[in-house]
Amino acid sequence: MMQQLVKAIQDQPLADRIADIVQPPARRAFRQTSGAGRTLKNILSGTSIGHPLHPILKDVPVGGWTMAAVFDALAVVAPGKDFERAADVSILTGLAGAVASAVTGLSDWSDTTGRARRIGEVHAILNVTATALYAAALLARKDSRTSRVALAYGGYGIMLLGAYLGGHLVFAQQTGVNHAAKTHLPLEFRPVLPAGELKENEPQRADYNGMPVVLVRRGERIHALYARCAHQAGPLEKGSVEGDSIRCPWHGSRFSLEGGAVLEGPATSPQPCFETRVAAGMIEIRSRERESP
Amino acid sequence: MQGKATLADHPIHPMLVAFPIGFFGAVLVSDVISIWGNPGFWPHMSVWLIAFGVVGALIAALFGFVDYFTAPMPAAAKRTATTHMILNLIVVAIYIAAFFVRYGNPISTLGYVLTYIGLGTLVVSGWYGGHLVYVGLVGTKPAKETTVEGRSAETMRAPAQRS
Repeated sequence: MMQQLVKAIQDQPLADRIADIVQPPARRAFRQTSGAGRTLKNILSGTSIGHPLHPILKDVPVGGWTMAAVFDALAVVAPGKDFERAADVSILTGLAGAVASAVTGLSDWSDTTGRARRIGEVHAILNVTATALYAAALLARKDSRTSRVALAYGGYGIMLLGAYLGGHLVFAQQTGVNHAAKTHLPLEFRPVLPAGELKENEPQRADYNGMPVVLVRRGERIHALYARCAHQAGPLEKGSVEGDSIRCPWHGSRFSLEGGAVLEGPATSPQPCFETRVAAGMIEIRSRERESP
Repeated sequence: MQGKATLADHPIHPMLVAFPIGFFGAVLVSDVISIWGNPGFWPHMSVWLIAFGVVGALIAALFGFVDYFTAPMPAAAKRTATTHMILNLIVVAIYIAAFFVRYGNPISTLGYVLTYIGLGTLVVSGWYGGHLVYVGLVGTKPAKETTVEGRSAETMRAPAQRS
C-alpha cells in the first residue's frame, strides 16, 4: 500500500506544477553565495556537523508525538490530570521540533529535482498538516478533551505517512546521503591525462579506473578529486575553481582541492581526494585509502 | 545495501529507533518538569519512561542485529556498525541500571547520573547510526540499478532546471 502511494506521487505532474511556483523563491531564500546567508545554509544543511540536520531534528516531533499518543492512551486507562498534562507537554515539545524540522526540510527540498522533489513536496504537505492538527489539538485542550485527543491521533496518522515518505527520500531516492562513497580504490599510481593538456585553474575531467575524476592545476601543484559531488553527484569538472577550492555547478557546494573537505554545503560529506604525480609526461594519480572517508 | 529486515522496501530499524529516542528524550523533559511539577507523579513518570525506552530499544535492537548480519557493507561501514551496536548495548545496560536505581528512589543522585550518561551515550551512538546511512549508504536501495560509479542513471542526469 505504501509502495502504491509512492508510485502515485513520484511521477505526478500536479506536484511539479506546485513545485514550479514554490521552489524558486525557496531556492533564492536559502541559496546565498556569501555572508550570513551562507553560514545559515551550512547550518541548515548539516554541513557544519557532517550529517544532514533535518533527519536529526525530526526525531523531536516524531518522538514527542509518539509520547503524546502513549500518554493519551494511559490517560484513558488511569484517568487524571497528570497523564493529560504529560501528553500536552509532549505535543508542545513536538511542535517546537516540527518548526525547526520544517525550516531545514524546506532548505533541503529547495535543492531537489525530479522524483525527490515531488515526493518531498507531498512529505512536506503531510507534515505541515500533521503539525496543524497538533496545534489545533493544543488549542482545543481546554474546551474538549475528546477533540484534543482525536485531533492528536489524527495528526499522528498523517505524521506516520509523512515519515514513510521521508524514509523513501533517504532509502530509495538517496536524498541527503553521500553520493561520493567509494570502495575498492586503487592504491597504485595510474596515468590519467597527458600533463600538457591540463591548463592552470581549468578543471578537467579524466577517467581513473572507470571512475570520473576532476583534475586542477594550481601553479606547481596538481589536484585530483572524485568528479561527482557528494551532495547529488553534480559534475565538478564543470564547476569553478575558487582559490584552493572547487565549487559544484549544481547547488554550490565547495570542496578543498587539498584534501576534499567540504568548505560549504549543501554537501555534508567530503570528496574523495587523490595523490598526484607527473611521470613520463603523464599525470598519474592514486588513492591513499581503499575506501573513501 | 539493505539487510533482510525491511517493511515496504524500507529498513525497519531506522523506523523503530524513534521509540527509544522518544522515550529517553522524554525522560529529560519529565525530569525538568519534576523540578516544579507534581512530585508524586513526574519522578515516577521518568522511571516508567526509562522502562518503556528499554523495551523499545530492545525491539529496535532485534532488527538492528538482523541488518548487522545481513546487510552487505564495506569494511569501514562494518566498523561503524560495530561501534554503533556496542554503544547501543552499553546504552541499554546503563538505562537498565538507571531503572533499578530510580525504581527504589526516583530522585536518587546515582539514578540521575546514570540516566544522563545514558542519554549522552545515546546521542553519540545515534550519530554513528546516522553515519551508516548518510555517509555509508547502508539501508539505502537506489530506485535504479547502480553503475560502476555507484550512481543510478537518473541521478547522473543534470537536473531539469537551474536557477
